[in-house]
Order: sequence, then structure tokens, then C-alpha cells
Amino acid sequence: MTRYIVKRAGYMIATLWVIITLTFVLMHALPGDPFLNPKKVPEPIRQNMLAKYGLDKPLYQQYFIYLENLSRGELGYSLRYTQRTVNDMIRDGFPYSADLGVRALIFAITTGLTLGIIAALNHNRGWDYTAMLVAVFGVSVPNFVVGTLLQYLISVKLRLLPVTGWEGFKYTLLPSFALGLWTVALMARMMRTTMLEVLNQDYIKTAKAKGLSSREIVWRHAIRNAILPVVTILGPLVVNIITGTLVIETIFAIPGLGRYYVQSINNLDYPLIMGTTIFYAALLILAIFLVDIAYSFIDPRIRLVGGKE
Amino acid sequence: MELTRELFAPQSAAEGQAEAIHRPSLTYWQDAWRRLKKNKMAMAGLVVLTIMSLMAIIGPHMTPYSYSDQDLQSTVQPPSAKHWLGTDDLGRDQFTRIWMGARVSLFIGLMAALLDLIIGATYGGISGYLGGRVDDIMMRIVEVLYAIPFMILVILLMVIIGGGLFSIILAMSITGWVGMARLVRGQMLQLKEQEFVLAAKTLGADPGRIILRHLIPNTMGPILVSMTMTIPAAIFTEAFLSFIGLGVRMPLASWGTLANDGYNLMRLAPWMLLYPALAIGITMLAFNMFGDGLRDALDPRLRK
Repeated sequence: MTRYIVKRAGYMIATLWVIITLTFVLMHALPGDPFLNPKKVPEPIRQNMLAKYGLDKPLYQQYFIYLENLSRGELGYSLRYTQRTVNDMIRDGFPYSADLGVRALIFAITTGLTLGIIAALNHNRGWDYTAMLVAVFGVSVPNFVVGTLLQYLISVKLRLLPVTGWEGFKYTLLPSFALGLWTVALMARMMRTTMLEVLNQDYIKTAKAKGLSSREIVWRHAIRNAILPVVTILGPLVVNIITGTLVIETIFAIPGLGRYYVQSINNLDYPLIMGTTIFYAALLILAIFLVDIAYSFIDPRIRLVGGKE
Repeated sequence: MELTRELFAPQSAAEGQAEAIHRPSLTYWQDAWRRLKKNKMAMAGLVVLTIMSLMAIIGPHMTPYSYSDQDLQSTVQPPSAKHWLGTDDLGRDQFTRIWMGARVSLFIGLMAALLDLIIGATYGGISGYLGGRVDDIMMRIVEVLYAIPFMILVILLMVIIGGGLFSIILAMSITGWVGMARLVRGQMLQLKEQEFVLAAKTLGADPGRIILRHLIPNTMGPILVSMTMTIPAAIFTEAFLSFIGLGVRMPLASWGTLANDGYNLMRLAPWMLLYPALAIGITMLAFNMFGDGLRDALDPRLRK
């Protein structure tokens, strides 16, 4: 078990290092330097600026300075807004993004699991087809399409919910739904499959033979066992939710990190983009790592396989 | 009732009858096609995909306009006899642009999947075939790359190399091949121990020939299924990138950029968002239905 965690942690660090180095190399592969703007900065000031950001040093030294800054948690600065750093952006925006993400995840997990369970219990009947139709629809329509269409229909045409912003519960409904729909679909499909498998197992027959009520069988035997494999897809799901916040926040004008990120992309504010990219990458890698570890704790079968490797 | 000896009669072994094969034997692909044809959802998906591809080819030529012709006299028109799906804010014909967008989106999807296949199958094939230390090192590299968040890297690359049709394909393929490499390697490891490979080796075939002529064709099933998932994923990614402003360059259109344009004009002209959204949704749906059916048809474990 410890070996498994150490091994996975090793991969995590290697991956992070690859991303950080790649980011550094790409940033410096760009032609010119940040102060070559049309406003014609006077040469002495330019030299001072270059010195301030350490850009007058040889490349390998810059790389080490960069790593050192990263290790202190300093992710970079903005070129457009001299007072803003990536750390500021994360401090300002991330709470909103996390709030939105958690809401979407809760909505998606509860709805997805319920749909999957209902579908499996009514295998090949009306409810099953309805649930699977929702599932196929959910994975087929990109979240920005869902978001924009809902925004138009429900907010602009019917005026039922606010169009944009993030000021109260009413504001959270559409973004959370649009962000979570894909996850709902995936969860429902996965849960249906594992639930059908479990319902065919011998121990379910035993439980029936013992005379347990069908409610007890479903709750105590079927769902508990069927939910295990579903945990494995939590990693990709979290990834999807996090990248999804980029567009959903832009569409609904939520002042989260994703929206800042998209803005910095459109402004070509390279240092800001790089810093945020590293933050996102670290977040995603950590999320997948935690899900994997959690899964190995929940399911002893994985632990055995991991230990043998 | 009583079972007596008289009730039983010896079964005359009609010569060879029991062993006779009554139906023509089917190859793997004929068998898969037969099963696929029975699957209504999958066939519906295939039909939709065929129509989409045909329209991508002929659609832009069905109107007198080109996808980049501007007509500033008639901007943001609702659908009419003159402009079947209306016009955008520069007076460009939406019908033409949607099918031009289909061309671009489908092309990106196909090319990305094809590049993934070529790089991934080569890498995975070599790794799986050689095995041992080479395989170890190659797979360590893959595992590190596999953990890199795909979308983040694609965004980063797009920011650096700039928008455009080929940079999207390039950015997606730089990371996309990893999944294919793992798949092909897994298949290789299973197949290379089989007798027909030994036979080929005995006949003096070199490794390149064995990989290309014997092993890769035998992994085509899982590869095809994986491609029916990669193509829509690539179209999805392109739409996502276009939507956040990193897509193909004007005046070229893709479904993603069209949806983005439509979003900006949503209150004025909701149909401009609706049509590209429908196009993406229907195509994704068709790919998913076809892909699911294909997986069921090709996966021998599901054979009943």
C-alpha cells in the first residue's frame, strides 16, 4: 500500500515537473521579450525592467529562479495589469470556481446515481430508456451549448432566472446544471452497468432467498457494491468539471478563476496564462492522485494488484 | 410413467450430417457487420454521419454564396428563402457557413484521430513488440505524459503556436496519441505470443513486417472502437477551444466558432446559436450511438 502511494506520488511529481519545464521552455520560445511593446520603453528603463524580472540572466539561471519562485508558491505576474499576480487571481477567483464546481459535482453525483439506479431496477422498461436517453443526450451536447441555450430560453425568454452573475442561490442553478450535465450522463451510464452486474450476482439471489425485502436488497446489497467501480471515474469527472468552469464562468459572467483565465488567453497575457496553467495542472494532477488513493482504500482488490506491481 | 427399454431407439448416425456446415462461414468483419446491421441505434448513427459527411462535401456548393462572402446590406437576417438559415452580423450566409464548419470540424476530428492512430500505434506497437527494458522505459514516459491534463496542455500549446486549423490538429495530437499507444501495446502483448506470429518469424519475416502485416490488423477492432470515441472528442475539444477564443482563424468557420458567434448575437438572433448547436449535438449523438454499437459488434467478449 505504502509502496503504491509512493509510486503514484513519484509519477505525480514527474508529471508536474514535465509540465513546469514545458511551460518554461514554451514561454521562452516566444519571440521577443515582454517589454518590446509599441509604446517604446526607453532603453535604460527596459534594462531595469529586464533586471527586475531576472530576464537579463542566462536561460539556465532563469530556469532555477523560476523553479525557486514556484517552490515558494509564486506563480507569476501579469503584463497587462502591473499590480496583478497569478496568486491574486487565484485568491480572488478560485473560491467562486470551487463553489460552482462543488455545486455541479453534488448535483451531478446525486442525479447521476439516482438515474442509474432507477434505470437498472427497471431494466429494459420505460424508465430505463428515459434515463439512458438523458445519458446519451448529456454526453452528446457540449456544456457551452447547454449553458447558452438554457441561458437564452430560461433567462432571456422566460425570465425565470437571472441571466448572469453570482449573487445568490438563484444565480447558481443554471451554471451548476450546465456544468454538471455531462457528469450526470456518465455517472448514470456507469451506475446502470455496474448495478445490472451486481443484480445478477449470487449474493443477491441469496438475499432474496433469505426473504429480505426488495428495498433492503437494493439499499444494503446492490447499491453498496455497485457504487465501488463508479468511484474510479471520479478522477476524469473532476477534470471535466474543472476545465468546464472555463466556459461556464465565461458564459454566465461568474467572477471565477476560469473566466480570468479565458480573459488572459484573449489578452495574450503570457505570464498570467503560464502561471494559471501550472496551477490548473497541479490541481488536476492532485485531484486524480487523491481519487486513485481513495479508491485503493475503498476497494481492497486494487490494493493487492498495486502491491504486487 | 415407467421408462422401458422399448421407448428408446438408437439414433442412426446419418453419415457426416452432424458435422456439416449449413451456413456460409463468416470472417470476423462480416460477422461484426451482421451484428452491427441488427443494431438500429448504431445504424441510425451511421446514416446521420453519412448524411453529415455528404453535406460537408456538397453543402457549401448548394448556395450561390461562398462562406466568406460578406453582404453588409443584409446582416443578421432571419432564415428566409434567400438565406435558408439566415445571415450573420457580416451578412454571410449561415447555411454555407454551417456546412463549411462541418467540413472543418469533421476534418479536424478525422485528422486528429488519424494522427493519434499513426503515432500511438507505432509507439505502442514497438513498445509491446520489443518488450523488456525498452517497453519499460517507453511505458514510463507514457505514464508521465498520460497524467498531464489534456485540455490544459492543448490550451497552452494553442496560446504559443497561435490559432488555426493545423495548430489545433497538432496541439491535440501531441498529447492525444498516448491513450492509443497504451491500447495498442496491451493488444500487442497478448497477440505476440500467439502461434501465427511464431509461424511468421519462422518464415523469416522481419519485425516491421510482423507488426504491420500481422499484429496491427489483428488489433483493428479495439482501435476502430477507440477512434469512434476520439473523433467526437476532438470535435468537442475544437468547439471548446473555439469558444474560448483559440479556434480556427477568420473567416474560416468551425461549429465551435459559429456557436461562439451565435452566442455573442444571442439576444438579437437566437437561430445563429441554435443551428451550430444542433449540428454539434446531432453529430455527437450519432458518433456515440454508432460507437456504442460498433463496440458491441466488435467486442468478442460480448458475443452470445
